[in-house]
Amino acid sequence: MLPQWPERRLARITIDAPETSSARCARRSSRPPEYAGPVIAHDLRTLSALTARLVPGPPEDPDPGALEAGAAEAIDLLLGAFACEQPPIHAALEGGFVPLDPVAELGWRIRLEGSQGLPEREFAGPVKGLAQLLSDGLALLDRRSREAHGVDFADAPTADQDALLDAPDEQLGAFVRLALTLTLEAVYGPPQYGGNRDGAGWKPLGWAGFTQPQGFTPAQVSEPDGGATGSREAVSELRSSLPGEAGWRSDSN
Amino acid sequence: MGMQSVVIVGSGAGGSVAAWALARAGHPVLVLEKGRNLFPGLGTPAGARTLLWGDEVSRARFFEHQDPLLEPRTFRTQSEARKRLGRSFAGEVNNLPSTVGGGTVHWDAKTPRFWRQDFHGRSLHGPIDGANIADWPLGYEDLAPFYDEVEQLLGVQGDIQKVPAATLAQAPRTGPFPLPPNPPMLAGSLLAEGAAQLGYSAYPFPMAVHPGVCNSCGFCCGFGCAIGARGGAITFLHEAMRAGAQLRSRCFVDRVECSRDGRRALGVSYLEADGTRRREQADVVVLAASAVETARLLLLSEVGNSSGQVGRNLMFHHLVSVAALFEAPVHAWRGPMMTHVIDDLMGPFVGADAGAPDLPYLKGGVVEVGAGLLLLEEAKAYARAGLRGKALKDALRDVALRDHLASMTLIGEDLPQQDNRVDLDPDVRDFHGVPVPRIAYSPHRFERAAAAHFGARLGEIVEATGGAWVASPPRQESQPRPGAATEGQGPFDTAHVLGTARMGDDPRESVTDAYGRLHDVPNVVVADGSVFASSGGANPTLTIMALALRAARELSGVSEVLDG
Repeated sequence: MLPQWPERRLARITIDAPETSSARCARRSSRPPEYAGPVIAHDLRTLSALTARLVPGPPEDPDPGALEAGAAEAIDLLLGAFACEQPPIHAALEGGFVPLDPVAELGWRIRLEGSQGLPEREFAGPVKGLAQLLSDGLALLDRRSREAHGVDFADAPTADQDALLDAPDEQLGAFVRLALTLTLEAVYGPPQYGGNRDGAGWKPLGWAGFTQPQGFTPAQVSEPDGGATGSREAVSELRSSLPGEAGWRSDSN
Repeated sequence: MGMQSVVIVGSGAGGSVAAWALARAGHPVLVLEKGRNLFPGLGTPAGARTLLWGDEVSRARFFEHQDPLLEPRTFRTQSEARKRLGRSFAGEVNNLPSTVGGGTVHWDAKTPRFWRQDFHGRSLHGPIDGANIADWPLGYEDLAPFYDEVEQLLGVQGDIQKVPAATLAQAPRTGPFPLPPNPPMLAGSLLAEGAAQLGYSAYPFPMAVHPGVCNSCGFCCGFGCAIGARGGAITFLHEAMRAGAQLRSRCFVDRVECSRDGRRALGVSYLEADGTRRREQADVVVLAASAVETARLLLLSEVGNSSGQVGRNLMFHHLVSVAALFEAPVHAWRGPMMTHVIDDLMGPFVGADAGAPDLPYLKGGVVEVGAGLLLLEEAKAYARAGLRGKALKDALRDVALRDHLASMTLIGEDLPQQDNRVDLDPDVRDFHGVPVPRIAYSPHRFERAAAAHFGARLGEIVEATGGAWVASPPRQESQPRPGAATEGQGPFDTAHVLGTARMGDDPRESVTDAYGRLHDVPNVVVADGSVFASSGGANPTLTIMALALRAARELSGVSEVLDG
């Protein structure tokens, strides 16, 4: 089911000798490298530690978390999408990924790699790529950790890590929100993207994902059955912490 | 004399229906679509496959949508425009899918008809200060046969026995729905009981979902249907291509070319993906790129705007949502988004009933009853609410909104305003180097008052429903959301985009006639939501298709095409 992933990129990178995306692209793809700047100048360890605070697993939480789901590696895979023969952007139902056409590829190169001063990418001004945003964010996280606790984020006790993530820091907060979105997609999204390993996100919640071709029977649609154990108390508790404009409905067409 | 050749810009709801009707009437038809074709095999004897399925990650990755990094849109409010601020946001602004099949590739296929009163708002209810309310140049009876025909072709389900009398009086039917309803979704049935306590009636939502095929998988609105259980533009496009129409994707039309005197269109000029410029001559040009892009194209071409109304009167529906929480699990995500609709809040309401003393009346719209959340949506909702870490995981286990939440959403009528408009951004370009559409929008006090009034009514329905309570205060989604820009989101969530080339009898106040023909250039026909003179309180796609069919039949001079 899963395609052949390329070697994970971040795992091989050290702070001392950052490997550039272009080198990896050149090694793994016949496509000429179009991008020459550093993508990730930080290590997978920091990203893993961050995702573990955003979606924790055992022993803090009874169910598997971001580490068990492989979230950091899945995020890394997205950042290095163009090092893959089939960029893992849109999973195909029958396996593998839908190839990007040239227009879609331009958009995703800008999104992941940034505009890099290339005129064909800067028609609407410069764009910082997701790889750079993550790299900068992880560096910021470590800097703040060293300032506050004297050690890199990954080496700080979880209580200190949480204190950093809770600190009223607009710049850090924006990065944490971005990382949380990516982590949630990697833990609770379909496993085709490399996360949600062994059903880490879905199994404990009894979530089956996309159930075609079975779908649901009329009885399963129209009548009560089991489900998760939500309680009025838990909801009330959550309600009290929600801002009024919290949106429950994400899309409408 | 040969049949008139037709080039159609856009392959969504309007363009596909026009292509179908014109190709079957014998016209040479070329459809140019600026997006990608995600339906391999379309138009071949083998039939179309789809590359879309129930993938919650891909959904947020601009698969069927235009990529805002390549084709940004910009936004400002009316007051920002008055202060001459160029824009307060650039990125994703009301992006409908931009792909072969348009918005219908991922719609949940709800197909309510507009009501009689929707076509005569000015005459029936009078003007409202600050709004540009107009009658349509046609009425329900003009459209009814085309509603009938499109419903048959799409395969619309419903139960005429359960349609309220008030709805049948406003939107009379000549016969039953072509297909019977889907299994009713549990949460919708429970909320229907609450609604009945208050004298409202929820009934099976008409929709182009095929009950023999649909298995209620739950990945519906916002997802392509992997098993082909929904009708849509693809239905028409496939048959149009079988009848000889050509379709070219990734072809962006940026100019309608006209004769020197400007009275007659000669064809279109367009850019292929790699920037190659091509021209296509045609006897007739049909514009169906949706309300934002059609207005942009007319403005880029400097065509059709002697009235000064092109781009103006832009309408979105304002969605008013209330979330119901159920003590027991109701799995509201299983099914075709929702299976119940309430029409009792359509209005107009006047006087004390409306609770808006400074307005002559209030109108609401259809209420979509009982939509749920999928797992990743739920997790992201908690994240937006500020949860993370173990608290977020606790919520997924213990609150479990996917099992316990069902929303009710009113598709609220949005009044047209001159200053809610699309124009060309003077500074921002897309990846082709073409100026992008700039949207100015602020709600009228009518929409603000309606949101408050109808939001409260929705809350009452929830409170009247056994075992349910209101989870969050009403939320009006079409309010510009300052700060959304910093999260990389556009200022709206609604995807109903209407009104930028309104139809009317008076060329000084409208852009097209009742058949979508530009008053200025009659061989250019607008066949999308741009022509709406009012937004009504109902999902607009069926009406877009019926108008496109009516326009195409007028163009071809064929009243009906015999099958064969």
